[in-house]
Amino acid sequence: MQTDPAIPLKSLRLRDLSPGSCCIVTDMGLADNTARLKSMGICLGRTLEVLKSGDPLIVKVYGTRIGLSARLAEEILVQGCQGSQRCWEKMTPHG
Amino acid sequence: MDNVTTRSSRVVLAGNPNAGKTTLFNALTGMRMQTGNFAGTTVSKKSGPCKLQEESVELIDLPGMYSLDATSEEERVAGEVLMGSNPAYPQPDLVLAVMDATNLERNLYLFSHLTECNLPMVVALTMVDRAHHEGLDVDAPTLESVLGCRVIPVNVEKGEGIEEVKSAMSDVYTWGVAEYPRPHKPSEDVKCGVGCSGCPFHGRFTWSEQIVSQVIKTRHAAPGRLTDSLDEILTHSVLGLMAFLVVMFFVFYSIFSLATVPMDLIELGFESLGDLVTQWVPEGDLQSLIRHGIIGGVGGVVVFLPQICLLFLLLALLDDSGYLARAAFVMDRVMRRVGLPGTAFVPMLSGHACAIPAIMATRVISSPRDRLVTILVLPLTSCSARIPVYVLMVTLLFPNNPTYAAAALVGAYALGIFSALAAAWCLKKTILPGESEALLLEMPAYKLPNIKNALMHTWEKALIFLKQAGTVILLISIGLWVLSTYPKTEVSPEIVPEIAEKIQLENSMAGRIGKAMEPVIRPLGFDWQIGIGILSSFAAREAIISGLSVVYGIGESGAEDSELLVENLRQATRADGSPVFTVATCLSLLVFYVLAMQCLPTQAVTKAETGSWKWAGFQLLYMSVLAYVASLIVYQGLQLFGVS
Repeated sequence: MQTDPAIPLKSLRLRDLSPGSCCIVTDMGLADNTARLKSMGICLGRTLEVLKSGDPLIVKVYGTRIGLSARLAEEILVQGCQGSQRCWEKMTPHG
Repeated sequence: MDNVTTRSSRVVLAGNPNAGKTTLFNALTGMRMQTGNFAGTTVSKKSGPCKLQEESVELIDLPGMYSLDATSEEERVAGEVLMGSNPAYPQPDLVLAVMDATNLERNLYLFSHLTECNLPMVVALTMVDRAHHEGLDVDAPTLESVLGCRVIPVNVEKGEGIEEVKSAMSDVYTWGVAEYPRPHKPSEDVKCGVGCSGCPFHGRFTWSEQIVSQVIKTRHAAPGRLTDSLDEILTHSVLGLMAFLVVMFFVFYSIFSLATVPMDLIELGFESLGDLVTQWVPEGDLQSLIRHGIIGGVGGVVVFLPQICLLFLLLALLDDSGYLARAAFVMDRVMRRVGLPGTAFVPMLSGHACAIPAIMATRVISSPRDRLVTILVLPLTSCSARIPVYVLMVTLLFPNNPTYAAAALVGAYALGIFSALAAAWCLKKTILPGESEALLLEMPAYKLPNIKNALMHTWEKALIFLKQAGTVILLISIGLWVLSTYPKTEVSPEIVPEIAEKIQLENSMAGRIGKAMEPVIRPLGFDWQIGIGILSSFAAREAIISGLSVVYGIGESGAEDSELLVENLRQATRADGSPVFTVATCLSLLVFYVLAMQCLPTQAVTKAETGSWKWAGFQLLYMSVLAYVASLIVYQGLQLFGVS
């Protein structure tokens, strides 16, 4: 797995990412509503792309855009994944 | 209805929100659906007959859901229906799962839950065209063998796949529901896979991703550029808010301009119905009951149906296009400050047409606290029934100055919105503390709205409203008719009918209550005649106009001639010869009508949706106190400054 040295692998808060960043969720924290977040696809190990930062913000997970309060994004810890194989937006065609 | 609920063949339709469930439901059932609630809940239920090859089944549309974790009332009810654990709903024979091809991972996540019901399943794969456009080609046969159930691509607009779905459902019945093979369940270790740390979500999503990697054939950069560039503007913190205001302006402009013709027609219809009654029913109490109590009362409310339908049609189209989610997104920042969620804006908006369907529309709000706050403050927004009263007061205030009149009208609306938000803030600081639930909302890709679905949705809403009008509003109208008709007063036949009508009303129970109220409403600048008007408003606020025209002696029919009514009101005097409708009284009455809870039908809906009369009573109490105090300040303040 190749990682961009400019993006440290330490955990960041989802709300602090700038638009266009790709990340993997490492910790869901104790945000209320986590069950709902998770069933919508914002869950440990999933890849997200931030489309709009601020409050509320928009992330893309799998094929859909999800609008969420910064209050929720505050609790969610992520790891930058630029260059990673797992970021599906940047995935090479397979099959 | 009974033969439907007892029919043994039942199929449930399950899927994520925005996966195309409604379109498929409409295509499978045609126009013959029944709407209502799941027993003992406020979760809306839709069902309809679906004709398969041999048998006819009842298709039940479950609420859109992401999982069966019961994170909301909808998911809890859906889970109960699927598991057959709700005594009111025996377990269905078959699950028809709708799966959105553009978002297969998350749809498979729900599928993994659905397999646990241990029922035969058929999958309808929707949005295949869009997925293809985005560079995703789903290999349906492979998906079929991986999942262990039929997977049928459908495109309702082109009529593709509908017959195949029906025949796949038929197969289940031909084979036998009990024997038909069940879909493969994700194995236990998949449910909690590597690095799981006990998180069941993780395992299920990993399982979905594995399946997707097998069935999605090509995958290059997904475009979705239209949605991204529209979102640049529509979710922008400044531009988005401006776009929202523009959209709302057009919505209201079309409601108020397009609805006038059908409203006039309905009014005309009820009038001629009234005339018909005059011809066929002999004069007397029965005629008056039918004409004024029933036709007049119900007609006065049904006249708002075109506005309500238009509002719901436009909202349904905006929703289907994907815009409403963006509107909720931009409004969240504003509404959160007063303790309301962004999703409350649709009900608040609908409240400007009529509070009854608006309170029902609060079902989109998932948090019970937020929903209750929205219901409680909603009737402060200026509904259509207030418009005739506003117009009358504004005309009395500024007869020769249309600019001031328009400004006063806008002011009344602004006061309504402002006080609704202020009331929400006060509730947050007092009896309903806490933050509004954090926004968490799927923002579907933009698309051209489906007009047929929107029309169906509007039809459903119209039926709900008409049901209210046919039951609660009818009862209230009859009650108010009794109050204003009895006890009867003997009037000598020489007296002109208009005056006789006036004497009759003065001596009726309504008149007596109005007179008893006078000491209380005197400080607001109102006399007992206005008291009667306020009382008659409880069926629908605009009823004050016919009430006033009777008490000021121009008869019921005088209300239709607005110039005559305004002239009469302007010349009305008190016992001491001073005019009744001074600037202070008009303004005070205008403020009173903006703020007062004078709508019993709304109260009945509040009771139904909150489950107790307690909240309906609270709503009546706080709004009455608010209206009283505000009018008192306006009237006494103006008196103090010598404006009269």
